[in-house]
Amino acid sequence: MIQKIFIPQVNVNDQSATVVRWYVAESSFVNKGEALCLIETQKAASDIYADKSGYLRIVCPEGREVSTGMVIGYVSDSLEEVLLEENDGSLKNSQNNLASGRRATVKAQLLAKKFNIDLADVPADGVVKESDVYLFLEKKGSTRETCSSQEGTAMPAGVEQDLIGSVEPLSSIQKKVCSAVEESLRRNVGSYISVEVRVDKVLAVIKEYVSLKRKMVRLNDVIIKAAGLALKKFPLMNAFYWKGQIARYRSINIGIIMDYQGSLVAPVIKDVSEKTVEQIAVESGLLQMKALKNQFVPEDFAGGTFTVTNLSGLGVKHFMPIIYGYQSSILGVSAEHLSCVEDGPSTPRMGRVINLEMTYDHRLVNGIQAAVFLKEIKSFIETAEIEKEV
Amino acid sequence: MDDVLRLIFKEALALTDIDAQQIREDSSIVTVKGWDSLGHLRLIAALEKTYGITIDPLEAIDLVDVTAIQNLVSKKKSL
Repeated sequence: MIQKIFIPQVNVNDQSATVVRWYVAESSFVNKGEALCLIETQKAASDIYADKSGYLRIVCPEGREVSTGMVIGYVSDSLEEVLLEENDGSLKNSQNNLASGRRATVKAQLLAKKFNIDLADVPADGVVKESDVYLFLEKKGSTRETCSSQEGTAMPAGVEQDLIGSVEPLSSIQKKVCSAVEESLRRNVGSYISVEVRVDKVLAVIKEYVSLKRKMVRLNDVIIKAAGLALKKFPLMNAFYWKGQIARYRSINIGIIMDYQGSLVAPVIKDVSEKTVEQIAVESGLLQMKALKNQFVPEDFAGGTFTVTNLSGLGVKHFMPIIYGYQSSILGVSAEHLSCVEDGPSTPRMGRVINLEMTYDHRLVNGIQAAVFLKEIKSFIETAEIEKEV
Repeated sequence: MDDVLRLIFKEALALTDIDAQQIREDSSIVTVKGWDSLGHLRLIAALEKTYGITIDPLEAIDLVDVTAIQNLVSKKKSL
């Protein structure tokens, strides 16, 4: 009995997915329930599992984008079973008849197409396989290494080809981020503002809270809460510009930029202004764990109306974030550091501070509004109000 | 605190030998240098890999100090 491994419809809008990685090598034995491969749609990545125990036959190579419903491999009781079925022609997705009357695997056809060769010229016993095509290419003088180097598009004029070490395609998530960044820069008229925030007091409050309650709360959770409350007070910051209009959001949903599979995503905490710092801390902690364990689902990224990006863990003191999606502003959080602060008139001392950096759409928000908005967040963090919140 | 756990902390949080030696059972996310969000994720990953255990996300967000980690690891290893 053979299990066909299909590309599932992860999201209703998904029409295709990329096979990112096969966890199991071709022809290996897999157990029922074992993760076989990682696929990536426009919005999320997910694993495909074996419905039965048996031997894995891979027909779709890593890095290839395929339509949903397409067969990318098989699990069978024996490899012979798959080969017999393939020769019998019943596994139609894995190989097709060629015009010459010969048969070839999908891998072989893709490779032949890439190097513009006629499979009729490739010597093979029976079905033409990928290895046959490679052998044919090598005999023609192209090794696998030189084959690989021919992948990708031509480099722009003015770039010396010898300087290029390798060219690799972006993952679906990386492509999505690229599109979002390009779109943001094209659509928004970004202006930038920054403010220094003293954090000695709030850090002491957090320290006391963690020691007493033994629950995780971080400075970033307090900042998210502060931003949520400030957004409630300044709804223009929770909106976006659209063709001469202001579109205001009903909810305050804050996306948190985080690293996910080598790219950036913004999973969302919803209704932030209505939640306590502790609730926000739990949700942000769970989102970070989802990133670690590759457990994001498309819903995690939906509905963001404002974004917070925190580079404090990397020691960054200043940066200029780019507005994310259909939003009017984004808040950046820099690294905590020592700075000379005023402690009453003419009383300088060293204190711990962070910089809050904000990029905003200047068509919608003017400099004064942005400054007052940041001052509101700064005030929330610096004052004892946080004690009540925590 | 055993040496293995100390080594996990040292590597996951990129601590110096001196900083790692200062970690005690009552050390927590607000007292250990480098135990930030990213450090916490690296710590969870290192604990799972080293001890061959799986830490649930809800469990992970409660691991705020060394004692909590020791208790969870002991519980998981005894299962």
